[in-house]
Amino acid sequence: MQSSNILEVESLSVRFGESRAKAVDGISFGLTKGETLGIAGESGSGKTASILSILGLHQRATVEGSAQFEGQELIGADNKLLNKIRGKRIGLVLQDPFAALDPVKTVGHQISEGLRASGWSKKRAMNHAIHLLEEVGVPSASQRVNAYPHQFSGGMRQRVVIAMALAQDPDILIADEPTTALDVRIQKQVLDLMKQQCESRGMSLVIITHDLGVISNYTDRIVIMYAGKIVEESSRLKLFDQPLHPYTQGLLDCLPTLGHSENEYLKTIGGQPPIPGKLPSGCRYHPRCAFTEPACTNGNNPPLVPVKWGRSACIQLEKFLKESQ
Amino acid sequence: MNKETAKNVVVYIGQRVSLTAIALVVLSFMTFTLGQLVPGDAAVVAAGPNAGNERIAELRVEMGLDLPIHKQYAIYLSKLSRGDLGKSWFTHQPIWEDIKARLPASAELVFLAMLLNVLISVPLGVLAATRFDSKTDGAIRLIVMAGAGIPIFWLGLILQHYVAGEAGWFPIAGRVSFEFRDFSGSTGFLLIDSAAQGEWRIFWDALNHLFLPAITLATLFIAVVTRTTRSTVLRTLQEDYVTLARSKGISEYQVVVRHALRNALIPTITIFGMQVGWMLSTTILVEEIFSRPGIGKYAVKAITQSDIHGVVGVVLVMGVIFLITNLIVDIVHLFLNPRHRESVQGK
Repeated sequence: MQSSNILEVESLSVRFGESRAKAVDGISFGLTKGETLGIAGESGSGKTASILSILGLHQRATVEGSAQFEGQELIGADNKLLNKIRGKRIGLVLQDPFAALDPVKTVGHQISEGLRASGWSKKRAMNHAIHLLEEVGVPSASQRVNAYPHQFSGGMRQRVVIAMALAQDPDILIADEPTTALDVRIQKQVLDLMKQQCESRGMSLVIITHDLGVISNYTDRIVIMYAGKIVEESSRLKLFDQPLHPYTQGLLDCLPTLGHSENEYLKTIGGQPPIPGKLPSGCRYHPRCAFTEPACTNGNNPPLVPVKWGRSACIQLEKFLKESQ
Repeated sequence: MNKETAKNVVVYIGQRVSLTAIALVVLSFMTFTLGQLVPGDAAVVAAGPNAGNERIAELRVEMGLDLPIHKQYAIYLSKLSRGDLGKSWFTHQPIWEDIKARLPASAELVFLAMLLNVLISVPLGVLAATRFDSKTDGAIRLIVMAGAGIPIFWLGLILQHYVAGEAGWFPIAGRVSFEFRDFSGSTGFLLIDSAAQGEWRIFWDALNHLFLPAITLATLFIAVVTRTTRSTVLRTLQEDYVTLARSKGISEYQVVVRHALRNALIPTITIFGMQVGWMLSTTILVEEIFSRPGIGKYAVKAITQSDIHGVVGVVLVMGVIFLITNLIVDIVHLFLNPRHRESVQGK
């Protein structure tokens, strides 16, 4: 499994600001070719920080650890090397399509920009941009290519952003909360589009989200993050059937289900996630956990323990596994 | 730009032009009022110290001073529309002729100072923003602070004394060397006329005379724009579209210039537009120090002689130039900002 990973992240930490607190604290995960990986967790759990640092896009963060793309180290690499990976091997889609496009440049310019930087003629790059817009489902692409971002709706803008990320035919597409800013109806269209593009191109997909419902249908494997740490990694099917960490269980309980009684409140996880720099001792989740035992509150943060289909960072893992059998 | 947008743009420009015209009328009202508010009887001054009461009364009628105020204003407006700013009480020359002869010298000065401003402040601001919190940034901030804090007249005197006087690198004062004093051309702009006639020695001489005044005039404005460019570029560098531009694997230079700076230029252009007018009024200080025969120096002379028509004339001309540069800036905005182009629709 190790050797086939196209992206291998190892003990990645990201520090911000004066306090130098870790927003991401030593996370490790791999991504195989053609696979779809979901990274889920609450806001501030370090999802975005980790993927932006892999591409060297965090301007003022200190990044430690390792992230290798096809064996090439990206952490600490210079811009020259990173620019061979950015766009060409790894494409990026961001959360807010209203902020993701430069308001003063035509969408065609922005889609074709990476291609022109790698030596394509303007005409050829523009034709490719039209082709890409057609592919992501923007109607009358040959005219719209000359339109400005403000002339598109949110959903259409996100399609443009996806076309921009696909322009240089990358091997991995990383989408950071790609649907959070969109209508529910549009969310599905955008996710379907990304999934379909990944399948037809044999591209790996990383979807970052705080909404487990969003990724349940689209990912092969899911990583759950809490307070800068990975607390669980599981296959999609197993995650919903048999969560390995109380935090995952908590997240799943928050999802509305069919047949949900209208007199019943949706469940929530009480409390707030901790602030980096003010982390509790022991398991970082213990102040909010329903199953906290004295052992959870002391010592170091529990390590990730492998199980047959994934990993979990709960010290009561064995007890839960037994109970569920 | 499609047909619809093109039509909107034309309508928008039409609106801006008419707004500018209204502002001009307001300006004329203000300059007229200024002329009225100044103490002293114009007829007494015009008649001279030895004139008798009869002569003064005669002049009062001749100058229209016996008419009701609104009629005087109407006459003032109709004269203005013909380019008649009145006559100086002292030289008895038409003020417009005086100003017309001096305006090119000031325009050359403002143009060169503005050129220095654009060429220095924008790159400096971008450099500070991209090197945020570094030594370079700190040094630029220090220079900016000093530039904004130095009084213009002091800077002018220091440069004149040390760089022109002691070091002798530049001429101390004037617009052109004595040997070329008789040179003239069709436009009145020394740089244009000498270049057009192939008189490169005169061109070089005039440019040398412009240099220190232009530096003196530009310093404060460079400091202001460097600071605003730094903060707007810092802001645009935080935008998602800049992160995504980087994620395409294009060079950092392209990211900064094409996306961060290009967007930051929109507010910067507005500042540049207003600075043209402010610079013009600051020539009052600079031209006095460097004895340049421009409208700034003319204004100083008019003020010290209580030549109210001269002062009002300068104020009016500066106001008109200010309004016109801002009209141009409004139009430039249409080309820089596609959202703005669109939003002028249906107004």
